[in-house]
Amino acid sequence: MKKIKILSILAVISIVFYSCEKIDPPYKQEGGSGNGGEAVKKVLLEDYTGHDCVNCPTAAVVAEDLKELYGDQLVVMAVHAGFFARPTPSLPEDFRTVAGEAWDQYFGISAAGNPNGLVDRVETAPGDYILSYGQWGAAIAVELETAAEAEITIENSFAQNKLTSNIKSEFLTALTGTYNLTFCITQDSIIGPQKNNDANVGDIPLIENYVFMHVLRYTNEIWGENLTDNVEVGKEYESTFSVDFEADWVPENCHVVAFISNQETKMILQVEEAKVSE
Amino acid sequence: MKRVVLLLTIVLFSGISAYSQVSEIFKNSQVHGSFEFDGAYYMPDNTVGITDSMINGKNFAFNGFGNITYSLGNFSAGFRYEAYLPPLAGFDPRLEGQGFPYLWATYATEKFSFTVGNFYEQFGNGLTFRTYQEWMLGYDNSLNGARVTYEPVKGLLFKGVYGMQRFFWTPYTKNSRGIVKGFDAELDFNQVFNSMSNSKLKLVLGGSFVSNYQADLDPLYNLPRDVGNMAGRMTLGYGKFNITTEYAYKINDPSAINNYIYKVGDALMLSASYSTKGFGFYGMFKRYDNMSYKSNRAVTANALDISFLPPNTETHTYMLTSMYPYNTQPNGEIGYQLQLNYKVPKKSKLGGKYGMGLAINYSQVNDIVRNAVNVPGTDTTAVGASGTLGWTSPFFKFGERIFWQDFNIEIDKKFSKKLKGTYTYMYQSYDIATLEGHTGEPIVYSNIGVIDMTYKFTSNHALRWELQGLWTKEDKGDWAAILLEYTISPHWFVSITDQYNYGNPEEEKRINYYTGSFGYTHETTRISVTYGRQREGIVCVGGVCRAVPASSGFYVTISSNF
Repeated sequence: MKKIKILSILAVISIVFYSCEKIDPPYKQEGGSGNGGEAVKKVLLEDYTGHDCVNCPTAAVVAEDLKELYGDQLVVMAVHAGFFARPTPSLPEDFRTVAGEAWDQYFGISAAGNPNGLVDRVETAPGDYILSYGQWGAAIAVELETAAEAEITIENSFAQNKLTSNIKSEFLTALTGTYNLTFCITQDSIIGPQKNNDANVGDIPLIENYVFMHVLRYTNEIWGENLTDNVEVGKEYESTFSVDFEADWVPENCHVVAFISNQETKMILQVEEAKVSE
Repeated sequence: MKRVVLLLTIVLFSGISAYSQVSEIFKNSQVHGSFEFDGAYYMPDNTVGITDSMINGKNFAFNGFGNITYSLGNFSAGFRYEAYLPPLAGFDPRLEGQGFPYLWATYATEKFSFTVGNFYEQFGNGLTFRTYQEWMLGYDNSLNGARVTYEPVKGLLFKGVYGMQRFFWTPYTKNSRGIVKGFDAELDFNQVFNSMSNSKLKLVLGGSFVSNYQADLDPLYNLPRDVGNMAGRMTLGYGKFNITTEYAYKINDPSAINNYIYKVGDALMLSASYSTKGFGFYGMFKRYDNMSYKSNRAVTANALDISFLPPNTETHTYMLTSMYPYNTQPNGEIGYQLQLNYKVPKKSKLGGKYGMGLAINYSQVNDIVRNAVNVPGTDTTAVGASGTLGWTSPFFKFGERIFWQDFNIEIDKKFSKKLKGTYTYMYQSYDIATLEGHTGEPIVYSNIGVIDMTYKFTSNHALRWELQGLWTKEDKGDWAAILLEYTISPHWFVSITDQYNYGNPEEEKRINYYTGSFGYTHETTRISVTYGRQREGIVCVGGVCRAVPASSGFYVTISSNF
């Protein structure tokens, strides 16, 4: 009986010690699995945000860290939508778009809270796509492990304040279903006020000259235009978009983001990004 | 022929025997259950800014559950059905769906019990482990797995738990969340040792250890896969004095809640009470430092909490005293509470014919002190920066920022056999920037008064009325509220309430939030219908905020149990 008691105590102590993992510095990983853009598979991170969202600058830092880690393999898009993106007297900018608001409604993001995001619009459970910024890194890593099922090339020309974008899409594997191509314009380096609650990011409660990155400015259609209902492997699907730039869209700071998604599941197969103007 | 008769006889007797066994099972079986259905019909209401496009076709909302428990001797089993189609306004939209999220079976003998499926359990005060459900908040963090308890002698109890937690309707898949395991032991000296069975000294000691395993898939950080949280506790009583304390220590647990810092966490709570006839005193101290503990480190939602951090603030229930409720800050807070209860004797000057109850309560919660630490690989220091040890903090020092202060005094007095009243005065300071995420907004200082009177016309007819006022220069300004409730017991009640934000600095927001209700109760079944408006608000949990829009419409609640 005494032996059993001693063994039980030892068992409990072993569980205690083996159930704790202490991490020593450095806490952040150095380098990443990004391969300088050579890999075909690219991932879209949509950061749903708003200038009135006090915790969103912290999430934007995570998005930038991930972008630095994965380089061209990761495309970031900041979608300003929902309650915290509304213009107010002290935050007059309106970065909302029709598509951004529709996506926010569909995926239920601001209803669940900001900041939150989507990674390739992959469902984590039936009907649930939402990922907190702490989940983005792991979700991107998992997506990058998957094989690319399509390839996109973008050729942009910008003249007389008009962007003409020629996009070629090619499927690499046989797929069933309907696939759409969504064409977006994002803009970097917009300066404006942003609420903030993280002293390590900037002033609290307001960063007067916050630099907004990857801001979604334009989308061709909410869920994109039909690419094909009948995928043919190896066929080049060509699409052309022309957009007149608004006064506050600075071409040098803008990118075209194009992605192919399954119309039914909304899941994104492939994404590509290219500068509007050098 | 003989064989046929014999066979028939055997079949007949087996049938009778089986029937008697079945009837015995039915006779000894017990089935209990409870049901609640909460429905809403939302309507546009221009005054509070609700338009048809905001309702977006979702006029109806429904939260409902049915909870059934079956028991036969040492065996019991049960399930709970839930539906949120869609969830009522204010509930997390990820609850939308329906199904059986709670299924369990238990076999319990005098010394052992075994449970499989979902279960609720708590170790000590919950600092290392507590799973529970709050229907009104849409919260459920039940553990789905196995539990064993063992009580070798009365007063010595061991518990072991193993499993994964519920996260809305998301099924468990590999690496989708952590696997929780825990162990608890509690020794009640007065029960175990005969020599202490009649002692005035009461002593209970306990200890627990919980660990959460979650794979490290994060590309940015090196994360601990096993995070342990351990605690020791004691309850000591002597006569009318009672002291309870628990200390918990958690190893490095970088998470989205603490902004991925690698600091250890700890928690201390200590409460003392003294009570005698007509007099009671209660005091509590607590300090939490980096103690959020979830089974998915990346989740910020109000879900997957493995532990529970008990509040040290009084929970208020009146319309205006509960307008600014406290919200525990797991990343760090230090506070205390003092409560005094006194019953002024009958036939004294103050007490009058029936006596008078007096309760005084004060609670305060401050931020902890946070000193900057080195950012690895640099010469700089920072507080709470990700990838660092977060901060250092002197244990008993109160930070300058006061999250919460609440002084309240409550008097209840019976004037006659027919008339009685409760009077409350409350002074509150509320750091709305921290507690609601209204960063940059000033602290809300408010004075609140409540008069709550009941007049009994007959033994089963009563009228209750409340008059309330909240006065503040901050946030939405002054409020007044009224309630009238007429009860014909045991079956009927009818009530009206109105909360009027007459002091709102923006004139168009000086809105009446009124409701009208009636209800009928028959035995254990209750139905109530309400029409009216509910205020808007912002809910922040774990650094994620969502706007809860105002709502207007009809609400029906039906509940029953058997």
